[in-house]
Amino acid sequence: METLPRAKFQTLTEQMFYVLLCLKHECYGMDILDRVPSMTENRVHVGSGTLYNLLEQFLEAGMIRETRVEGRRRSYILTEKGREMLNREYERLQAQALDYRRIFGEEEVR
Amino acid sequence: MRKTKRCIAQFTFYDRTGIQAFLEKQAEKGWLLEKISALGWKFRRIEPRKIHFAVTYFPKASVFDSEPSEQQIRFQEFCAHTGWKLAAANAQLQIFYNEAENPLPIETDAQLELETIHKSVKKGFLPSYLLLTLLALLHGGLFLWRLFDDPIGTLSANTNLFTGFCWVILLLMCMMEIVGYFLWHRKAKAAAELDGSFVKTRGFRTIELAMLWAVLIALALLLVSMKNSRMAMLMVISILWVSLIYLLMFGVLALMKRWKFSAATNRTVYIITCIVVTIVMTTLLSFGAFRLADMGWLRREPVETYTYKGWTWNVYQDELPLTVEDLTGVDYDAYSYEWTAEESLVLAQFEAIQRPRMDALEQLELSYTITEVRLPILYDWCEAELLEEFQWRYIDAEEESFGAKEINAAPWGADTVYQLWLGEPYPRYLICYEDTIVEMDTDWELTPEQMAIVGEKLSG
Repeated sequence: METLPRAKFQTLTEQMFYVLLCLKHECYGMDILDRVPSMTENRVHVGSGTLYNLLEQFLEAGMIRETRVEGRRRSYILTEKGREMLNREYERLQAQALDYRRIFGEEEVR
Repeated sequence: MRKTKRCIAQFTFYDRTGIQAFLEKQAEKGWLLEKISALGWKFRRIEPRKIHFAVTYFPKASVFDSEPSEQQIRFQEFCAHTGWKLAAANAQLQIFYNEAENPLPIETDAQLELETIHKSVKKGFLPSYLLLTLLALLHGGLFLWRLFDDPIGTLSANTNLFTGFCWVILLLMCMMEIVGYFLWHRKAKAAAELDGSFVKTRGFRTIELAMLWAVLIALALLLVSMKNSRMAMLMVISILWVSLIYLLMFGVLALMKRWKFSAATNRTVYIITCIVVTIVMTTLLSFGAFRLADMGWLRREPVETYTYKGWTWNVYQDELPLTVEDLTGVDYDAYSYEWTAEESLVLAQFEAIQRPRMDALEQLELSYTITEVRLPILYDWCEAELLEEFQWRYIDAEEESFGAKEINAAPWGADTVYQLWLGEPYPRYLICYEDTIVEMDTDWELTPEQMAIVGEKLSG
């Protein structure tokens, strides 16, 4: 089966989405490892290696920025660009949810 | 009971599935990975138990780093936060273990993991294997050039077959690793994009260990087959010498790392050391070998020597399959009988020289070379090669009476016989038997009876 590669950050994976969501407020990188599960009632977990690489890539893409460096501890916050991407993903998910409701909601009415 | 052990793990760099399974099995046997170095993987004894391992890659790390960078330590701290402790690291390869029953994996995004592996592979694994491929191709090419330039000389020496075999094995290993990686990467990329799954890696550990054993067995057979024990000793010294070069290069790097120099300094010093050590050590080895050969250390001792007109001549008393006495019944007891052999699994070349003393040159002289073709497929090639060599001086001669002429093979009991003509028949023959080809020089024209004796003694 032929698959099309997903353009970088055109859509966000669930893990990307929640990592960015955590960074609405300034947060230490390592704390995200605990925040994501608690935010999602343990439904979503981000591996430590995955989080480290995501933070590096988000920084490089200008989606987050470093706010504080204390030794090796660093804290980050979402940038305007990151917020835009998060919004775009939210709208995409919302559109998907609407489409779902339109299809299955009509069936339920019948 | 020993507390540590070492082993050569021989894992493909990116074979994270294979490495994890291997380390989990080792932990169940009571061994925990502690260190990875050029000398192998070091384990320490632990209480046998189930431990989870995670093999990850840190592309920014380098084999030349004296200590982990701040970023690398931060990465390790992230892992420690989820219970993953660092077991050992070597360049980009980072191996963690976790004693929790069901730990959260370090990598939870297959696409990201694949990107990290690919970046690491491009930094260390691929350039090394491409360089090795180039080396194997270069030496393989040289071997082929020698093979076509002098097939009999090349194929009749086990050392040549061994080195050729080693280069083929190295080339196969490199191709397997490089092609194997790209095939796996293509499949893994498609799967990660499709459903986010990670395609298990498959290394070539069993095949590569089999190849390594094949090389070691071939080396042992080569050493055992060497009739000249001094030559075998020289071979062993050469192997130890090359190992010493390897140890020196890695020793210098290890020392630089211990002294905490920067990665850039370590790299520069390492490259310079590699070049200098290799040139100096191989020059010393070659010089030593030539010196020994010059001193006659590698030559056989003659049974006696004599001096004639200021020159020293050696006398040998080897047993020859055919002598002047067998052919003519001549009665002269001061001959030197010299027999040299160069044998391999596929071909053997024996040279016999029966020479009178220099003060009795009126006596008959006999010399012949027997080429024994042990691999039948090589026979036609050898015959063509020997025939070309037999008449090479005259092959382009315009006169038809110069060169090799086929003569009646029946008296020799042979399949084909050529005699050299230099305007008239010359007593040099190329006699082809079923699996043996004899090139013979005599001082006289052989009679049919003598031809029959040659056939009887030398036809194999």
